[in-house]
Amino acid sequence: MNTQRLVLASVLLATATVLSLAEQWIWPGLLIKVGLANIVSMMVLCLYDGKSFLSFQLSRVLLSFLLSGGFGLSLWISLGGTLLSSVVLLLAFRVEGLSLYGLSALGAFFHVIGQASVVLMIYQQIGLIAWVPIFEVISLISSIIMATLARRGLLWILTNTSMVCRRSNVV
Amino acid sequence: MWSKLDSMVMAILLGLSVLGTWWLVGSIHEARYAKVYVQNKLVYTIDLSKDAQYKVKGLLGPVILSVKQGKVAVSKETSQRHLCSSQGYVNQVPIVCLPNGVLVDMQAQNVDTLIQ
Repeated sequence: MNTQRLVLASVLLATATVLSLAEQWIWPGLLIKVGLANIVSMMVLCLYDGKSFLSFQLSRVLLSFLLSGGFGLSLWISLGGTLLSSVVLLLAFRVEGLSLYGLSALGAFFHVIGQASVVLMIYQQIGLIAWVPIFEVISLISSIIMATLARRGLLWILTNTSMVCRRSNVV
Repeated sequence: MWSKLDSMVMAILLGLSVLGTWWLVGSIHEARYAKVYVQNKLVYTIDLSKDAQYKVKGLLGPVILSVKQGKVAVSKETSQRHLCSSQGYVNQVPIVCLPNGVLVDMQAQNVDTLIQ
């Protein structure tokens, strides 16, 4: 990895962590989060290889939990959502014709499914995930906004640096 | 740019979510009983016509349930964000206290009584 790629990866990781924390501070009592950090995740998916993307996603979650001081059950729920959505995103990224919007929607959808699966595994109680369909609708709507912002960020990076996207028709 | 495939993916995912929401809304009814589960174990079947208070042992500590005018609320619980107690008095939707593993499920009829 050359210096520019390494520096940009660090900046993106810091930005995603700050966005995660900011979201917790802005809406502390909110049951669902819009996933501001996913703006950066979508950019990393486009700019870096699969292995780096997975490392980024895991580091982002661990760092935000480390800084917010809570390695409890919510960490496992968050990791479940992040891991499933990351794997889906990596697979979907190979599909030609799918842009940031479709990828963002898939990521958001499977993030909720991953979180709900961990809740089900831990509590073995179907009623606890009764709100999942409503969370899915909200997350799909927010995924469009996140994709729009990620696209703007990506276009800026692609214009102002020598970085290239792994697939040409994503942005 | 937004492609045809994006629209298809979005339509499928939104369709699935809306179907799920429709199912959830369809299952909402005026409750007369509330079943309280802790980690999938039924601990109380509450008659909502009688005002009372109930205490269950949640994973993080005691969870106090209050019944008032046919509605139930979690009035006290130990958790980081107090999401289920901030839900207030409800009658038609479930109360989920995830950190405490507590579920309050609303029932139109007491199924156990019907079987008897």
